[in-house]
Formats: sequence, C-alpha cells, structure tokens
Amino acid sequence: MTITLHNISMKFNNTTAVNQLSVTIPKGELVSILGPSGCGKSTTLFMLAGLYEPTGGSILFNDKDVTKLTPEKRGIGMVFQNYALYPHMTVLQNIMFPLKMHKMKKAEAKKKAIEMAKLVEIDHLLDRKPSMLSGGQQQRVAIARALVREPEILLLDEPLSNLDARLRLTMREEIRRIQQALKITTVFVTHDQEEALSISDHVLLMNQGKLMQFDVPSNLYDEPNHRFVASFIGSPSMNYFDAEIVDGTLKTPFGYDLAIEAPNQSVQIAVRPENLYLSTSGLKEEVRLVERVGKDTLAVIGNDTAKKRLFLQKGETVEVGQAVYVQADKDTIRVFQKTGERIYIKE
Amino acid sequence: MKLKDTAKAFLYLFPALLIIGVFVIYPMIKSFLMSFYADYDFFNDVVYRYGLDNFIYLWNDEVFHQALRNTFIFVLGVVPISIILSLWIALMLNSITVLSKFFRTVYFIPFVTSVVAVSIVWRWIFHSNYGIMNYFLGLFGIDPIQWLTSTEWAMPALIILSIWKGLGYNIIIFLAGLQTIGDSYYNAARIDGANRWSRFIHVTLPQLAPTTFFITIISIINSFKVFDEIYALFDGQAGPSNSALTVVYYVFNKFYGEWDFGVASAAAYVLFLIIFIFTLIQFYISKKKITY
Ligand SMILES: Nc1ncnc2c1ncn2[C@@H]1O[C@H](COP(=O)(O)OP(=O)(O)OP(=O)(O)O)[C@@H](O)[C@H]1O
Ligand SMILES: [Mg+2]
Repeated sequence: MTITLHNISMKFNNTTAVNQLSVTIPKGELVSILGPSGCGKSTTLFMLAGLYEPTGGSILFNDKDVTKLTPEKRGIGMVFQNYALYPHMTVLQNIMFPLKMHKMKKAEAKKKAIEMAKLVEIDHLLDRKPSMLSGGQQQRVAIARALVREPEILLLDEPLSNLDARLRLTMREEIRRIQQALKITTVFVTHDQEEALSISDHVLLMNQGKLMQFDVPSNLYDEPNHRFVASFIGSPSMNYFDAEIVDGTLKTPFGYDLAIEAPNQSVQIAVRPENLYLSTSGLKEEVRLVERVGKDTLAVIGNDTAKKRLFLQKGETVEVGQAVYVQADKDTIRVFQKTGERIYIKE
Repeated sequence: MKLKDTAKAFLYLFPALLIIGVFVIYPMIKSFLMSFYADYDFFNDVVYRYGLDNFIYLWNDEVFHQALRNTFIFVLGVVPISIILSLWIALMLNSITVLSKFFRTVYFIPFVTSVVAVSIVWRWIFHSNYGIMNYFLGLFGIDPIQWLTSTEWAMPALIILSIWKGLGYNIIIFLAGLQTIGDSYYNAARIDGANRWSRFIHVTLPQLAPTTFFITIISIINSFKVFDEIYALFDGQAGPSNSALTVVYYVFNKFYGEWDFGVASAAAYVLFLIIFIFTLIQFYISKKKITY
C-alpha cells in the first residue's frame, strides 16, 4: 500500500510537533523516520496509525483518505517502543488477539498465530507470559502480533532501542528479512542513523517537526541537501571549512578555485573525514590528537574553535603538534550557504 | 551486637506493642475463652464450667439465625453493587479532565464524615412524609415508601446508605488502579481492532484485577462487620422487629443488653470464622486467576 502524507501538521497546545510534512512512501518499501529526539518521529507514526488525528493536512492509503479513520479501522500492524504486550495473556493469546477482535474462528486463529510465531521463531514459547521473556523474545512476539492479520502497513516505533548492541544487529536484519518476505510497506522510527541507513529503502530525515530530506540512504550520506543533514548523518561528523564566493568563483581553502553559480557570499565547505587526506599542499593545520578507531587511525587537527577529523592512510604517521597540509578533491566537497541550504556546483 | 539491636528494636516497639496487647490481643484471647464459659459468675469472675453450651445456644437461637440471614443479605446487597458502581464512576472520573479533582473530593466526603452525622441526614432523606427520597419517587408516580418503619424496606434503606458511604473509598482505590494501566496497552488494543467495550473487557478489567480483588476483600470484611450505620439509622434499634439485625448487632445486644458475655463472644467467633473462610476462598481464587 502506498502511503501519502499531504501537508500534515500536529500541534499540541503550544508546541508544533509536526509541521507541514509531505511525503509519499512507495508500496512495499521499508522507510525509516530518522531524527534527533523530540523531532516528531513518534507523532508522525501515531498519525499514520490513527492514534493522533492531525491538526492539519491529510493522509492517504493508496488513494483513500484515511485522515479521520480510527485505528481500529485502518487495518495496520504496529510495534510499540515498549512492545505493549498484554501482560495477562500468554504469547499465543497475545498473537491471537487481533484475530479474535476481528471475529476469526478460534481454531483458524490459533493456526495462523502459530504460523506467525514460527516465522519469528518463537513457537517454543507460546505458553509463556510476556514477563517471562527476554527483550528480544518480547519484540518478536510484538512483531508477530502486528503481522498476524497480514496488514498492508507495518509501523515500528524504535523497536530496537531496548536491546543490547548485538541483539539490535540481528533483530534489524530479522525485521528486514520478514519485511521482504511479506513485501509489506513498513515505516520504521529510529534515532540510530546506522540502523536507518543500513536497512531502509528510503530514509525520511526530520528536524523540529519538518522534513529535511527524503532520499535513499547513500544520497543522504553523499548528497545532503542541507547542512543539518550533513551534520546529522555520519560518524565521525562532517568537517566544515569557511570559504568565500566572489564573482562566480568559489575560493576553497585547499588552494584551488571552482566555478559556481551563486551570488557573492560567505559559505561553508563540508568534507567527510574519509575524503580529507594529507598532502604536500593545501590547508596547513596542526595535529592535536591521534586515536585508533577500530581498524582505522583518526587524526584530529585544527584549533579549539574549528576541529577537523581525517582518517590516515595505511603507513602514514603523524605526531601530535606536527604541522600538516590537508587536501580534499573537488568532487568530494559540498557547499552550504550560511543559512544551511546547499549550493550545487555545476560540472 | 545482634542481641543488642534486637533489644533496641523491641524497646522502640514496646509502647505500640503494649497498646495492641491490651486492647487487641488480650480481648481476642479473653473473648475466645469466654465463648466457652458454660457457667460463669461475672461479679466474682469465677468460671465454674467450660463447654460448648454457648455455641449450642446459637445453633438453636432463631434470633441469631435471623441475624446471620440479614448479614448475608446485606453483604450480597452491598458488595457487588458498590463495586460495579464505584468502578463505573471511577472510569468516568478517569476520562474527564475538567473538575475531576473536585468530583473526586465530592465522592470522598462520605467516607471521611462521621457515620452518625451521615446516618442522621439519611434518616431525613428516608423520612416517609418529608424525605427527599419519597419526593423524587413521587415525581415518577411511585407511592411513598415506609423506608425506616416497615420490615421490608428497612434492609434496602440500610443497603442504599452503605453503598453510598463506601463509594468514595472504592472510587479512590479504583482510580489509583486505573492510573497504573499504561496508555500503550489501550493504543495497542485499538491497533488490534478492539472497540471501546473490548478494550474494557480485555485491557481494563484484567489489569485492574489485583485492585478489584483488594476492594472485594475489604468490602466483604467491612460489610460483615456492619453496625454503626444500623445503630444511627434506626435510632439505637436494629430496625423494625429486628429486620436490620446483623451479627455484630446481635453481639452488641447480647453483650450490653443482656449481659450474656459467653453467647456474645461465641457469636463474635462464629462471625470471625465466616469472614476467615470467605477470605481464604478469595485468596484461593485470586491465586488461580491473577497470574502475571
Ligand atoms: N501528547 C503530547 N502533548 C504535548 N506535547 C507532545 C505530546 N507528544 C509529543 N509532544 C511534543 O512533540 C514533540 C515531538 O514529540 P515526539 O514524541 O514525536 O518526538 P520523537 O521524535 O518521537 O522523539 P524521541 O526520539 O525522543 O522518541 C516534542 O517536542 C514533544 O514534547
Ligand atoms: Mg518517540
């Protein structure tokens, strides 16, 4: 099912949690909603579910307007951040509950529930109460309950945030596997960018209730359309250099100029740490710190107000206090206005 | 060190223990013994013979049987209605946002007001000629009812008063219980397609089970022990021709009216046994039902 959000807004008293959001989520895709805490991710998801009614705009499932439809009638599946498994029911009863609410015959409902439990590999736990399950097992039960009615839309609100690092990794692959097996349109809320970038077809990046960028993960990383996106995505974070545009020419700190179609102004040039490298010419900076990050060596250069990070190549060594020249190729630099908007360099 | 600590703790507890001992433990043991006094001279506090005579007396006493019957009718009349009504009001209070604090206070007032004052007001409400109850019933074309002076209506009047009086306490406890149920369960149930009624049956009621269990036990115990309301409502009587005579009232009559300490103690222990058995049954049921 295709989901279309048309200018939806949500106001609580004085705060605008979601502001004029418009986006189309293609059928059968897994889309992540990503953004810092409090940016309106859960609110957006709750509006998709029908638990909140937007204060403005409309929501379409395929071409049907569902803005005013109650959650009972939307036919979606949802996994909550804390799973919300009914504590007084067994695992089997939890999974059967949506079927029971839709008046399915008991024998048939049981058969379906067991099938679903097998899919998420918890069929050996059917008689347990949720309190006797581990976090990962509870999450699978929650997924099974959300999927048992074969909804056309699955919503997940930070389903992995309660799990330890290793389990998160396996569970997110699990979610991807199930999603692809069932070809179900899925919206996945997370504030973990690595999670979002690794499993999604598209990522919806939000900030302060506004849509910042809706794109495929690689574009979000390589072609951010706003400085916020550039800063939010990637770890270690983006490096920024001040530069000037004078008469259609961008004067880079790396010693070369680029033709650019923009009025005269001060801009910022963004370069990812892996695209910054030591050279014999370019920008001269002092090395402040050298540290090991996994298999790579990271050097921190610059002064207190403007630190930059770069990864050293194999065999390169630098000392703290040493002056070095850094360089970035012109196809790896991204230019942003002071207000944050991107300025594209034409080829 | 251990011994010293224990001694110190005992010293702190001693005043409380003394009071409990004199006013609770001693009377309990004494009345237990008294229930077996078969031949007793209370002027000189001499017991000539112990035996089951008092219990045999109760077994044959028509008045005691009536007291037992009335007590059971009272419990059956008060407990279920009181629980359902207070749950219903608690649900309403829980869903309104404006004035909910005000209403909570209003419902709690009967609980903190003296039984005697409350009962005097209700005597006026139930008055057959000037009472507001009959006035309202009259608006619907119902003839005046002799609430306090007829044998059929004395018990219903007492039940109505007691339900009203217990409401506030039950509502507060139910509200506390309702507030512990997380929104996410209701949200999940809505997503799963549960309508308002299904959410009540499948989320609210099961999650509220421990609260309901607590309220049921407290209500049953309190109802079995009803006394003050009767005394005040019927002006020191047990209703017209004992129509509102309960077991505690029977104990009171035997003790202060007839100075028959043995029978009074025996009746008190019969009541204790009944309450004890009921509570055991409830614990047994709740163990099987409330499991999470
Ligand atoms: N019921 C509510 N009443 C008032 N304000 C709310 C309510 N729900 C959310 N908000 C506000 O709306 C904004 C967005 O909240 P939301 O829960 O959608 O954030 P989020 O992106 O899910 O954050 P997190 O990652 O911390 O879960 C926040 O500023 C929050 O304070
Ligand atoms: Mg959230």
